[in-house]
Amino acid sequence: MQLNKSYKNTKELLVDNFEPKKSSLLQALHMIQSINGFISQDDMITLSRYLKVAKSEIYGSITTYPEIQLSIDNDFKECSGLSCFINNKNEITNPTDCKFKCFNAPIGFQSHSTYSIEKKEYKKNNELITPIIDSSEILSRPVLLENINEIKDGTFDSYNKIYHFNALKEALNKSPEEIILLVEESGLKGRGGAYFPTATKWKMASTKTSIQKYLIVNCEEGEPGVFKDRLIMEHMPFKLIEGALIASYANNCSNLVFYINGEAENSFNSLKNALSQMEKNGIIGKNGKINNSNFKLKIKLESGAGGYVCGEETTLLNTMEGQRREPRLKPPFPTEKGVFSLPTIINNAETLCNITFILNNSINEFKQIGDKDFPGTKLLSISGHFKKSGILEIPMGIKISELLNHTQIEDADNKIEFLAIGGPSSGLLPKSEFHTKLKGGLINENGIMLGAGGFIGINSTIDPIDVVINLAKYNSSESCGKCTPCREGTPRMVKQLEQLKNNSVNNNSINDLNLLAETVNVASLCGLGQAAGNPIISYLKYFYNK
Amino acid sequence: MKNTNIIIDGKNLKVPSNFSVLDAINKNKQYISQLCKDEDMNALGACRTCLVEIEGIRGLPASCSVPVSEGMNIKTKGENLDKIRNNVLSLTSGMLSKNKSGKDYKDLSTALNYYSADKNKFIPRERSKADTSNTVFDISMEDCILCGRCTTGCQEGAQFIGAIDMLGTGNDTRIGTFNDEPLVDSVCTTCGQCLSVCPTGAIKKKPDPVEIAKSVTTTCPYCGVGCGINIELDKNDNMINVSDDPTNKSSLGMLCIKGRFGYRFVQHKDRIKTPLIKKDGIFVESSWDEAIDLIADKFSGYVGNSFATLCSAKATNEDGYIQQKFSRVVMQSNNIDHCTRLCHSPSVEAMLKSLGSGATSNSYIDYEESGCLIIAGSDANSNHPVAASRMRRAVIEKGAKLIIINPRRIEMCDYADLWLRPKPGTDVALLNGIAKSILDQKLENTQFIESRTEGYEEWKKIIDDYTPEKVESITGVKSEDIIQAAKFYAKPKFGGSCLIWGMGITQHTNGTANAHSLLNLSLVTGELGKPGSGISPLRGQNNVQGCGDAGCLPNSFSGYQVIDDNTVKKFNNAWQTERIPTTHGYVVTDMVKKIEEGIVKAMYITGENPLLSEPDLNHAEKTFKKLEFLVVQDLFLHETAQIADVVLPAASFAEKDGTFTNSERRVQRVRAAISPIGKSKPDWEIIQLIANKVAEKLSLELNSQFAYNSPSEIWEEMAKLTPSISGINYERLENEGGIQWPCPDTNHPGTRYLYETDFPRGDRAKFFGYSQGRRADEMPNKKYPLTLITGRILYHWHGGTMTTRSEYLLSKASELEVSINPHDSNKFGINDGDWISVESKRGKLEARAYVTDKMSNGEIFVPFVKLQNHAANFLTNPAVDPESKIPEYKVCAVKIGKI
Repeated sequence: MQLNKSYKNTKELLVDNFEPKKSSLLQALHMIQSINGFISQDDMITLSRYLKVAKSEIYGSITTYPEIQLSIDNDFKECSGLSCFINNKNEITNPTDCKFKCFNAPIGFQSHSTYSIEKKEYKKNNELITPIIDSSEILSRPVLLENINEIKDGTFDSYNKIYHFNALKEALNKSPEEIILLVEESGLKGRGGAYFPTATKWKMASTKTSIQKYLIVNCEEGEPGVFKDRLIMEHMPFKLIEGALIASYANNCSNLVFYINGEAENSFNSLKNALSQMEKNGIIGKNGKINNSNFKLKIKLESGAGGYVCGEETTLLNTMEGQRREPRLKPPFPTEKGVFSLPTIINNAETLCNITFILNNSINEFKQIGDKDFPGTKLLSISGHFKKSGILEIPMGIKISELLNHTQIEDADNKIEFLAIGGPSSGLLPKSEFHTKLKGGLINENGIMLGAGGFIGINSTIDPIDVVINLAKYNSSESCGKCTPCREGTPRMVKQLEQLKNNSVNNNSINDLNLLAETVNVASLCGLGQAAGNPIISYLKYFYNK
Repeated sequence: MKNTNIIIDGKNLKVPSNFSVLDAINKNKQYISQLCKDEDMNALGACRTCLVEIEGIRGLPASCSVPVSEGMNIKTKGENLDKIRNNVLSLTSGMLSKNKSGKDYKDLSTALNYYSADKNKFIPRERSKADTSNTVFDISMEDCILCGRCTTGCQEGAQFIGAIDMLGTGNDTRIGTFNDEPLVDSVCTTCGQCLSVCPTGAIKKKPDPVEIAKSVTTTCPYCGVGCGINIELDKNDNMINVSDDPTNKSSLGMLCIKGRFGYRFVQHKDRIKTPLIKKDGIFVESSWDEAIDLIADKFSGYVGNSFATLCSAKATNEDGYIQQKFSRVVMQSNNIDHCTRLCHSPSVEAMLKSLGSGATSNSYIDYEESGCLIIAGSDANSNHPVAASRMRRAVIEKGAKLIIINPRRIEMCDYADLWLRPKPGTDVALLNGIAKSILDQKLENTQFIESRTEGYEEWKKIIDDYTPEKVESITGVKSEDIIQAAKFYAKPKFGGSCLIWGMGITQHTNGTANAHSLLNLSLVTGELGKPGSGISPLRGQNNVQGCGDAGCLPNSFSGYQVIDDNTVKKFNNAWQTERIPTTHGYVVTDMVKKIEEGIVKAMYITGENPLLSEPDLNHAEKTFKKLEFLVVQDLFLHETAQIADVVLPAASFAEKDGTFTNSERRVQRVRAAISPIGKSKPDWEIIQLIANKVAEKLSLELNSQFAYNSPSEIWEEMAKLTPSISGINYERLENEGGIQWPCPDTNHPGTRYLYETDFPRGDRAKFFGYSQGRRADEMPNKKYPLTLITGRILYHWHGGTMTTRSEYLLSKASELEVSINPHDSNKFGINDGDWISVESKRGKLEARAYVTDKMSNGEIFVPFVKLQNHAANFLTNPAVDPESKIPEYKVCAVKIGKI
């Protein structure tokens, strides 16, 4: 966060930049930390008085945000995300969670710089560019990465030259209802991992009479091994913003918030820059008018503060309100009672890029791509033991084997034995199952899901049990602590897996482990806990005693 | 409310449509485990043990978070469901201490047993250390299941204190305070809300609790908020606990430390158990017959103006009513008063003059609906903690503006948008300044002023030269803050504005001027008589409202029916007598003077301790000793009782039936939980005995006027004679809970706020303008260079007669503490923690120095309570406000020194 002004003290900074409301907490913490490097006890007291929030609550919230520091932390750490873990030849002694540089694995990390362990060199984060993998062999027409090479410098001119914001203009000529109908007919489903029909979500919010309505673009990409939203934000920000503006218009939203992973500084700056370019060029008027129409919108960027669960939509809402980073009960669903109790639509960044495509083209063109039942494409985040790492756009419904055969991402001398698909809460898929088709939702009966499109290939040098333990540890360390099954169950899964690895188990304990995984899945409060048992279930099915 | 048809375990049910599935299961009385769901709070969804199967819904949803829908088919048992739920319960049990055998984990043990879940399936894991820093209760993390009920109760679920919250994540999640400090160093007020909602006993009172055999719902005996409590008894009728009553409409299930933990005085060994007669300077135990006979003998010699009685604002309405009736009918004396004279008489005087009624106009719920609160001269956190919680809800949850007027930095300042810190005694100037600024900014409510007030023009002239700049020079409050306060109060962003005040306004020689100046703010803006607005003098005693309502006043009968020929005729008729005097009697402060003058010679004091509550105690003691005959009726042999001729043992609130009326005019039931201690009797019974005996000595025919069999009979008579409460009776109180007067007939629901259309004094309320007078009767001087401010602390109530006999409270504060600004402590060579003396020209006390920047330079603070024989009233100035006769407790000149 850059400041144009220096302040005598925290109070002055708060008065100048933030409303005295609890919802200012997280952004205020970011600003204070950007100046001082950490949050002091006095800062917390000042925040408490200014925001009228009890000190214990300020502290309670801060202790849930991994990126908010109560002291300066300049230690060198090594990434323990799965790609780094399987690529790191040494034992990781001072681990940190995934830093989303999986395409450069294994990495270390120290005060905002990334260290390539193999090349033994430091790089500033903005010097690391996400590679794009050629998909021409498997995809007839790219939806998301269309013209990516022409626009990836992220400038207004390069985007405008090709697209002229015609999708937005087209949309503003239609009625909101027409756009919703269009999206409904396209069959578009959410690309954040849950694949909920986008138009259905929109309609759930459209029945509400509230004058204020929020669209939140979920760019809180926090799953280890998934880095596609960062590519979108950094290399095609205008496509994303255009889609978000169309969605806001279609849903009569009054407020649009881009909620960005706290670590993704480059993404934040890229979107910030893109928005100001759009203002300069009159796409977004000074008074919030969109392209000189009657449609007005307040647009804001907000930063999360880390943690896997922050991407869970109700958790995200809590953090926007200054609450602890933990999920809310559903119902009420955000579409009914979201941020500040207002109707709120939360869409993933990738989902909204599809909207731009649909408005630029036609439903039929969209539906021709991908699977008949599941139109469109998906961005996969490829990493691990593949020869090539980066973002690959695939048509929905493609078989894994086909994908491997046609993209040259696999090294012929270093065959992939199994895949960790969909992030830390999906599952492990063995080579024998590579005939499986990739599309949204469950892709096989053992709890394996495509999720947000993590796609980590692992060769024969790694014992699958170590992969499961790595994932289980991650799920355990990321548990927000609110509900019993996840908070208590995930660390016990780690322990039982470690016993399994040391062969100190019998049939009963395998049953217990299975039941534990099932309990966490069935009884947990939020979607993350509800999937935390998946790696174990698939491991026991495909790998244990095989 | 619409109903929804559902099926639970095969049974067809109709339930309200706003129910959750869990509500429906509970209503059906089907047991289901529910560890994090508190009856009175929103579902948290954390424990995940209320899982059910619902046809058509995937998985096993937690029933607390699923709303019922038509035709829903719910199962609370099933093979897979039992397996998963029991595993969750086993995981929960795995959080608990290593040695669980024989330990009762309350709701969790019940669930584990009911479902036969394996409590030892998982090896107990490491937990953080217990917090045992609070002297009243412990938080033992190894017995905690992190359900979140305590932190919710501490914050948005009830109290808005925020001492504890959930901290950390994952396995490191814990209940803790800001910075993980010990609880005792946090803002915890030991209200015990956390403890009351804890489902496992992880938060528990020291020492371990005993089994409860009986519970009686009644009303708290401390402040005027009037919280509902349950007195819990063991099988031997020992009071072992007090819990909150969630159905109480004033307290909504909240209590403070005094209400929840301050009950031990009831069964304290110091209770007086028999009547005592002083013979040769020594108290001798006597029988009731002997004592009553002696009293009647003596009293019959003081009929008329030489008799005076002090009623008790701690006793019930019924006690008060019969006492004033006794005085007027039998003793022919209107010399009747109670402690309101020493707390809110200026408020009452001013409100009676301006509006025609002396009561709080609004209800507590109006705080929650207001857009601006001014709290003037009141440390509500200490004195009215539960009302303060509702004020904090307004500020924290609803975003109301909060303006504090106080020379001391009270805790409520943490949440204030504006803290105005006037020099002591300059309130009139400050309040006139705010009024002037309202007019300058054209924020007045012209329509209200024109249609509903009088005296506006005259008042306007008086306040005209109180410009913000001039007021700044008098009060020390910055002019821009005065202007801002005017803006906040006159134009709240939503709802209305509430004015709330306490003794800091009234206990001054210009107390009435202060009160009028406050009231004028509400009149010029029209901020009363509508929801979310009003005027609230916060009442100190549990029944100070009711004591006045019952007619314990020298100038009026019950319901403020002023004594004149007409009312005397009405009551003579009703009471079948012709003896009621038509002249108004003496107020407390005048009684004291009249004792000195030899006019008042005999007194009957119930539940009051003037030798602790009067100013200048050394002098007061000399005066009261001049009485020829003094009867004191109370729980303890306190300072006044010790100089009495006869002492009568009264039953406490826990031993009698009756009603209290709280600050929001709500009449609530008091119910006996135990039999009277020793030979003590409820006040009304004793007064009745005395009345009949005196009448006998005087050969007076009472026509069965003092032949009540129960408090409800007394209430019935009072209600019949008092229009404002005519519609309230015991049956309604039993069925509906407390009812707010005015309630003119039995179909009337009671009244939330007064003055919607008119005022008791007529169509119009009246402005009374005052100029800033002399700041105080006694100002600092060379010999006594500091200003003493008195007030209260959370842990003690009033003089401390009850609270110093409650170990839990005494453990929180056992020594008197003097708050001193660091500048002054330096100047006088005093360190934090030193034992020091504080001296005025009237007396001296010793106390512990507490150096704090909560005080301004030149001002020190001593609480009102008497601890280790030291009390502020040895120092205070008996000078009174000319109109209300309230003494100037708040300000006097003192010096300090190290001992």
